[in-house]
Amino acid sequence: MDPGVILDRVRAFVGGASSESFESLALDVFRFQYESVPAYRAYCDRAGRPPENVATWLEVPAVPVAAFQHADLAAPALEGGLELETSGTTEGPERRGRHRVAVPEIYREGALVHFRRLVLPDEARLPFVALVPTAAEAPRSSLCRMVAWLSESFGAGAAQHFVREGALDLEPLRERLEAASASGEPVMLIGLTHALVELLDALRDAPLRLPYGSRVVDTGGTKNRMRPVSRNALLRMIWDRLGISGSFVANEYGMTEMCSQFYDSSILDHFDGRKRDRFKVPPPWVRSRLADPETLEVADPPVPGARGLLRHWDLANVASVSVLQTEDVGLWGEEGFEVAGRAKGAERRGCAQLLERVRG
Amino acid sequence: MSFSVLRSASPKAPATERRKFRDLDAEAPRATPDEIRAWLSDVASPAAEPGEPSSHAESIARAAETFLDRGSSLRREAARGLVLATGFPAPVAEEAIDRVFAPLASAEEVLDAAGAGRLRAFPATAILAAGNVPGVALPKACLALVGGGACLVKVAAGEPVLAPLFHDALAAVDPALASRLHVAWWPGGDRAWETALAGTFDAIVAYGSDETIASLERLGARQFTPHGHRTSGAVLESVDRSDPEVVRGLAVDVSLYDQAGCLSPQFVVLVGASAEDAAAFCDALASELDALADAWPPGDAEGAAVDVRRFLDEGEWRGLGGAPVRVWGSGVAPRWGIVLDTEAGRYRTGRGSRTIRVYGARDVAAFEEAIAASGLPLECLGVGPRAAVSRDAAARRAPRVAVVGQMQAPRLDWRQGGLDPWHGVGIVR
Repeated sequence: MDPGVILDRVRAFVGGASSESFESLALDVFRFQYESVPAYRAYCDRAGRPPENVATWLEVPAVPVAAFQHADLAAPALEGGLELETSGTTEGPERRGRHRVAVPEIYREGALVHFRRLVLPDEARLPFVALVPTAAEAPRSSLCRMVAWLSESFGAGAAQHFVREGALDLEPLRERLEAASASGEPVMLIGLTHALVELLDALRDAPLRLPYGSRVVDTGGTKNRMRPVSRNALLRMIWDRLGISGSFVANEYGMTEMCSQFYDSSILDHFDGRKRDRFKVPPPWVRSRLADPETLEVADPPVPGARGLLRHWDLANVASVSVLQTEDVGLWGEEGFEVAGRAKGAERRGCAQLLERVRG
Repeated sequence: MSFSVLRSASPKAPATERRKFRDLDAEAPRATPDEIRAWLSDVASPAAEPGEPSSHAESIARAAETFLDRGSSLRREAARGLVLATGFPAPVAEEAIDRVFAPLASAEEVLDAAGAGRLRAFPATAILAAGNVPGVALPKACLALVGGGACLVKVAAGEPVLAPLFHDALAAVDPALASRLHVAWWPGGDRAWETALAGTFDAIVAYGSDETIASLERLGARQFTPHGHRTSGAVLESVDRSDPEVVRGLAVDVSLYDQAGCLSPQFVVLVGASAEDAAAFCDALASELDALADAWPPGDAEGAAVDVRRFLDEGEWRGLGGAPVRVWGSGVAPRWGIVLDTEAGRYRTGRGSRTIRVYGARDVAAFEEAIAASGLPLECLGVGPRAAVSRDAAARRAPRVAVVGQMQAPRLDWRQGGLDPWHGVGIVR
């Protein structure tokens, strides 16, 4: 299959300039990846599911996200691109997932299109106050790369970053937000959830009221970094200490191994005048389902109230592998899913704990 | 089933509350440190008569024998309680009861483990159990009693069953000795309790995670014996590898308690095996693990599937990425996993839930070199019944060496953590 042709089709689909169906494009993307990624081809063959045995997008073999730690899953024929790495796991830095994004234009286009739809439906231009390092400081971070693209495209002026060398620059950040509060100019506060919590903790006794229209986009959760904070508690703290209502707060869900992102429906719903529980909204080129944690069987269509491991079909991953089996637990609602943590595995209750976790 | 965790000779019965230990409904005591002190002042005073070690050992043996009698009501209660509290299936509970009480049912073995009866126990020892491996606190508690001391056993939420029932059995044969054993439970991490323990007891023996151990160590007990995380493996020479009993024994050691215990092998090293030999061994081990997964299903099927799948995914994708690795797994909802990695120079543990790594070593010296480089805190190395060379090498590298199949059946002379069996509960003069 000609790489140029499939890339053009995906580019058009992501850009909204295509009338073809998700199904037909997903199957052709699978054929391309089967032909182009040797490790994936071997995996599909071993599972008895080469393209001729796959009739629907739901049948395309899923790769566990952890596979990115152990094998090169980028199509070798597509050279160059962005080399991205996860920030490491509890198993140590050598267990980082690596994802070479051979066609960054599709990644960038998808990030912009979906962010604009879900976070800036009013087409506001806001100065970006970033709770992540710059892309120059963290060149292999997919989040930092994405924030750079977003601020370049949608920001009012250059983004200001308040995380340096792994630490939050709290006082300069507070001054920046106080200045916004005084000037009445709304801001886009975007970045790591745990950095946001650190900021909110610092504002406990001196809350601010940021101008109406300011937004918060957070990602990454708080687990393993500090005291865990529930989503409702976080929304309450954001209201109490920054004066931003939940209608202007969206959690982003994404991962280095995946080129596309999900955002809470909350901001879009606000501007569309809809009242409903927030859920994660995928872009049109992504589909998600829940897999049974024990058997990995996928329920289709998903049933509201169901719980399972999230599996994503992301066509923007065209240059590596599109179907990713995560260990993120999803809860399906009426119109989409919410992320409810990570699969835990069997509870460790004896003296033979996971030494591997600490030893790598 | 109705079950009470508390066993105390204290005349003042503490308030209790209903609590679920997994699926076991139980009365859990709300004992206070003051009540423990009152009990101790009765039974562990300097004037208290320590009694004859041999007589105590006899009483302990008679109490333990009750559990080996498959018709006894205590055994039935123990088996039911273990199933509900630990999640292990009934056959594993029965196996566990035999393995816990068989050594204690020999008065001679009990006395030998107590320094041939020369153990002088500390007046008051507290043993803090953890996890869900059955009966971990009982051997040391019994040695403390034989040595004339008083012993508090704080059971673990994961296994609150065997210690109180053993107290019942002991009270039936020797009420005076049983009065020196107090069984209780309180939520782990209760600072008031832990601080009181350190000031009240002469010695504390603690099992648990490294975090728990570190937290207890900071309390500054006069004598503190930690039993934190340890792991085990096995080494098999060619003379043993083709023996079906050896393969089955290894599978038993992997499967029993779903690798929750420190005596369960997480890796096996095949000495002098060709690639074909190693694959054939994995085939045979896979068959045995599969059969055991039917007979002894995992206690937590969903959690096990997640663990095993992670383990197999890693092996499979390392292989697809070009590493010389092969995997054996158990299908759609995996219940066990094997990763064969014959070229690794260092050994790693599995992921629990019946996952085992298989390595190769060209000879026993290479095995010793790799095991030293691996830096694993070893508790036990399993060996075949015939291979003398690997047995000697294993003995240089781990506190305990056992024939595979018996790795999780320690006798009372087990030098856990490399320490004397009585370490932490007294002194042998």
